[in-house]
Amino acid sequence: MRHSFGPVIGSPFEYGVMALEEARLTWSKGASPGILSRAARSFDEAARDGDDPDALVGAAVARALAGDLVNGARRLRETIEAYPEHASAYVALGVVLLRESDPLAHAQEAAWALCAAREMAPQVAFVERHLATALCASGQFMAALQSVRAALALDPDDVDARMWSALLRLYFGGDVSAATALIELAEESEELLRPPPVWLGAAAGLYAQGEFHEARIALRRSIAPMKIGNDYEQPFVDAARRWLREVRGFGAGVAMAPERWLHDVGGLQSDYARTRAALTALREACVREPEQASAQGLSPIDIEASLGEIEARTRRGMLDWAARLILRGFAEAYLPLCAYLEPPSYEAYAAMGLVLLQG
Amino acid sequence: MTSSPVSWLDPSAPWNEPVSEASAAEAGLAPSAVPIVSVMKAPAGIPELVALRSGRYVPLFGLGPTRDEGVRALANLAVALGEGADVRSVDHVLTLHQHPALKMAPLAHLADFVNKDIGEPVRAALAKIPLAYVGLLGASDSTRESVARVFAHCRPVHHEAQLALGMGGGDYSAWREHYALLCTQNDRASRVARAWFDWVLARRFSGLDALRDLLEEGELDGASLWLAETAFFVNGEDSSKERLVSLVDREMTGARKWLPRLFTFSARDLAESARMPMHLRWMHLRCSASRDHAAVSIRHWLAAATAQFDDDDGLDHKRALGPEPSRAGRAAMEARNAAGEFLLDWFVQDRAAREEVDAFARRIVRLYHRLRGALAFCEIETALKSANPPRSQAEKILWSQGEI
Repeated sequence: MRHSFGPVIGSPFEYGVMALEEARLTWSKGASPGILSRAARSFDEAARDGDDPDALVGAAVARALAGDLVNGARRLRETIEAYPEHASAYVALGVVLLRESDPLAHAQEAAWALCAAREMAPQVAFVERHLATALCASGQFMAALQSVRAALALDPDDVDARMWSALLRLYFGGDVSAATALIELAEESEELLRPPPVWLGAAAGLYAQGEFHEARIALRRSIAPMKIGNDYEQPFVDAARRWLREVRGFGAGVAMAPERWLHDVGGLQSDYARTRAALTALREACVREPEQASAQGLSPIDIEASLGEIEARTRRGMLDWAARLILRGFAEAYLPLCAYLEPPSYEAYAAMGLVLLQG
Repeated sequence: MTSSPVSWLDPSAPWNEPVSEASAAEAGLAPSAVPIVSVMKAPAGIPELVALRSGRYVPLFGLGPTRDEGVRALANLAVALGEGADVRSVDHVLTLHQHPALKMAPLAHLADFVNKDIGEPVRAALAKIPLAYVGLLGASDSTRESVARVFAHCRPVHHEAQLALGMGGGDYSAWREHYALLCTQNDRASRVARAWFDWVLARRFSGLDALRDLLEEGELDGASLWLAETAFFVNGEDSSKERLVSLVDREMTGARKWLPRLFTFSARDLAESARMPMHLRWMHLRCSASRDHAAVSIRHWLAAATAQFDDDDGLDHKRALGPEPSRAGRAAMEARNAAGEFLLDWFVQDRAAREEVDAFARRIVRLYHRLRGALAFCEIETALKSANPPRSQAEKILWSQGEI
């Protein structure tokens, strides 16, 4: 591991790190041509010089950032096999897999890699935050919530962790106040010069608040860097639009808010609503004719319990399915956008064992 | 009407085979003392029981598709469900529906015979007999279906055979498969049966609404009307119990003269089914409550989301968004599809409640087939009745009460 991006000492590893840094600084919907291949060659040379897993990780990451995600991930898996105790390879694999164009397909493996990294190197905010993202994308929302809380405990100002936390609270926990947090976070991120995809989170918040026009504006801001008519960029745009369309299908408001509940379960003619109404009528009949009800083995308390159970189970199920669709859909649209517009941070390189952050 | 030649009677019918010494000796009889049963006795004696066990009986239409064979079938029904019948008479007479050596050949022969000239009323009446026979005797699903399969392509009784095939499933908890069969039919009786399945067994309120619509659409046959009423009974509607009883009474009146014990069986089933209406309603609602309502709602919601083709997101990107869902949406749909209709609509976690509703449904289905059989019996009896005085034993059983 090397100390920061200091003066060039001249080893191939340093050349590799410097090339990565150059790519990061000049990143504009990808690195400038040639930089990442230079980084990969340097790391390859460093790896040939000696038994250096960091160089292997660097070589794989450089390839993955250059777009060869398949080979990058393969090299990282090989590195993990050769150095199973080396946490940075696991971190790199998790990060690389979440930068895939189809992150949901790789979310399980990314979560596994980041879990392993957390075991070996606990208390790293970056790892916890990325683990939360991977868990969310793979549909393990309770574990994602725990991870994101751990990330926030380590770094309360972490904007990404706050966004995932608010999304999980809103769509998995049914917490209405999280919608406001999502909108504020987007504005805060903009002040920190973060790329615009974070406005997709604001779109979720605005839509939940019923501010449809503003939600569309937020969606537009999130995909603003995409050129109209550019076929390469169209999938990013379509993914974001598709996600909003599905959120719209669910209707405005927080999933389990009372005013939306009836709509969500299918309206007054749904089997749920009619079963509930019939159970309520039966309970009233039991109260009216207690002797007959008792003779037939019925009690209003049992029916009341059944009413509570059907509501609780259905609400839980709705929350779970809403989260599965909206949160995973968000990850599907948001992660590729971020990967396209934003290079890995210093923090990411540090967690991958390529640099050390001051402090 | 001329009957076609029957191949199994030449050179000798299988029921003419003598009983083995051992079988006869076991019952303390000489082989020659075991008769060939054509019309069953009630109560049956040991020689008749040995004859049944040894295959020394003429099965349904064993002598060919003739009027006399139709009359013999009705006479056997009158024996099984007549005043003098004992508790085992039904089982004994049901044995006659096929012969172990011939299986369904006589009935298949009858179906072919009827198909050759479907306009002839006696032929059509003969075709109705086997289904009415197994329905009236309360045969199991497998017995009723094995008979119905033979007549599935017999045009005069095609709908009746499809109902006999589809309206069942309680014996092996195969309600869903039977429902799928009913979904392929579109006659009014099948639609009523399908809506009944929807409401009573799949607990879909849309089934209840469909039954109401069908009643409003026009007149239903007596058995279908009664079946619809049982659905309203499950829904706890006022006076439904009284209507159920009066409908059974009305629809069976025609057959009362020949089949008095049919009332005993039906009354027992009806009393069992209707004795605790609130309890039944509670069990049915428990089944309904245990359904995965969230999954059903999400399914509708996903369908609504993907159906939004007019993509009004106000973007400059004008390219229309295709109807396909996101990967997350697709995964949610696939998960629901993998769970399938069975888990979502037919599987009930609340086992105690499910068993009670299933038991109710089994009784109702049995009674429904008895009702259909009773209605058919009256039609067949009218078609086969002759102006001449009764000559054969079977005719005397049917039309000269007290002479036998």
